[in-house]
Amino acid sequence: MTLIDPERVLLHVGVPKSATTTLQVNLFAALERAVYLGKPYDRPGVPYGSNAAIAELVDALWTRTEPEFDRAHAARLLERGLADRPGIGDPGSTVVLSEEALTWAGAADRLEIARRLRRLFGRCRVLITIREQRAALRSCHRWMHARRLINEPHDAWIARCLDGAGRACRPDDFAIRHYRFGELIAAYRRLFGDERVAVLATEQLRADPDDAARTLAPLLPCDERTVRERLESGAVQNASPGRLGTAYQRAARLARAMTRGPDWTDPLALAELDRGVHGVAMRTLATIDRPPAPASPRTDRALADYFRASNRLASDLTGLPLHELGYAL
Amino acid sequence: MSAPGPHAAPTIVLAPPWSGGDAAVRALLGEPGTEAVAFATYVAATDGVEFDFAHARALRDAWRGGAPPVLSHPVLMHPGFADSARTDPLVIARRLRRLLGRVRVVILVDDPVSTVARRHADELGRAGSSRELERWVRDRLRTDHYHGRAPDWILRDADPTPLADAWRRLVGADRVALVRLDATPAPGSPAAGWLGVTDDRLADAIEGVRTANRAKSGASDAVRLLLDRYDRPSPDAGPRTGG
Repeated sequence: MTLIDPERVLLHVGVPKSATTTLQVNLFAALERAVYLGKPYDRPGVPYGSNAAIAELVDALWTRTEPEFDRAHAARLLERGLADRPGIGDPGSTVVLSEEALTWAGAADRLEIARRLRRLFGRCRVLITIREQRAALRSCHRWMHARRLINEPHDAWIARCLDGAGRACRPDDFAIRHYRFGELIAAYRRLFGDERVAVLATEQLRADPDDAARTLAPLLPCDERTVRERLESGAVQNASPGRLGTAYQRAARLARAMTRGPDWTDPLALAELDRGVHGVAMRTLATIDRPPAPASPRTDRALADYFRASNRLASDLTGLPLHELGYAL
Repeated sequence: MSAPGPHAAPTIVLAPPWSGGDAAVRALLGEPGTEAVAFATYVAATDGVEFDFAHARALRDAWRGGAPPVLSHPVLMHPGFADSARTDPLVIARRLRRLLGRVRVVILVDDPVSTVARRHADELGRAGSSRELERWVRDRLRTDHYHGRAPDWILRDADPTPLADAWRRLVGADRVALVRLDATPAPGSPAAGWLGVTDDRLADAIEGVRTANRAKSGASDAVRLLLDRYDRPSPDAGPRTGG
């Protein structure tokens, strides 16, 4: 028996750089009758204890291996996270849990994460957002490079991921494996039911926003027009600046935190940093910020080979026009 | 103890990487064959959403061999190396249990902090100073956090005792034997028999590991304190709280 009626729950398990932040901020957190459980965990209007419990729950779901995952404690965290949450008492509201790390391959096993979600939430609805892998990985690399988490060029990083040598006799592909989402979609459909799992390709948001709205609206307590309006509001761009831009953002946010209070992790602050004086500074820095070298055609071909079988599975399962959207098939 | 016959339950041997246990197993049993490597790596290093039991059974059937059948490969204990992904050790255990039945498990155990120090020495290419080791551990803990892994990964790789507890729950405490790499095995322990060797041969292999380990970097007290801060659960404590 689950803590909350599965019919009221939507789980969003989007792969990284698949517009997850856009959906979270512009849609899930902004809908009147959605009870949003996700980042940022310090949103005003939500009790601290409630947010802290959800943050701890999400962390446990995707970082704890099976010997260390405590099912009973996870259930207690969910209960604490839902209590006192604005809107939870409205039976017509939809509880939305959204976290891209739930699709990561390598911390906790992806199938175990799915099973944990199934136990906690029952046969609820699931939204999986996907993105064409070569574009997503270029975006990932830019993000990591800007934060100095990686210094090697994109080509070298991918080559290392795809290298079949090593003591495990298999590629060291932790950083890219979660983009094999065909198998992930199949696993979620087995666990939650074919009709309970919806898949949205990020590219649809631009190429066919009406179709994207048709996919999203049935999952949420709103109509298609509201979904379109929310997504088109474009309040959050979340494009990754380079190293100089990232350093500037951090300095600006620190100054903001010191002068204006503890809301500096609010992603809406990103929008402020694109306007006024900050906007001028960011655009100036962008002209001199040296981006990492783009991926070579050879790397793109290698990645296409790596993802092709999984993309075909995803295409068969979802019926999405992935080939037209640029996916390797 | 006499070696079990050819139809005995398979034995799984697990050794923390950099503990020296792999060397002991190779000294006793030789290098694993191609089929064993293929089976072990598929079971240990395949993501759950991609794991195909039919394929695993085919690999298992191609491997089955030896008397007694012993499966040992570094990937079973540590499918992730350095910054690579790691399959959940209990997921691996469940797969092996399902594929091989009520196996026997020999787990080679060493002081985890010394194991971490040897790992550092291996990456450095020489014995590191205490300060270098401490800095390296701190960096690794911070990097693991950025990459989304629990910060004590480096220590979890080195300390198999929570995994031993999980195996006991899976197959029964009487089918799991711990062998310390820093002590002479007690005569009559089941491990030698499950591996198909005599007590003396096992003792010699362990002594070889101890001699080799003594030559490498020792552990600093500062590192021991640093790693102890992560509140490792005892083997009998069960699942962690706090998620």
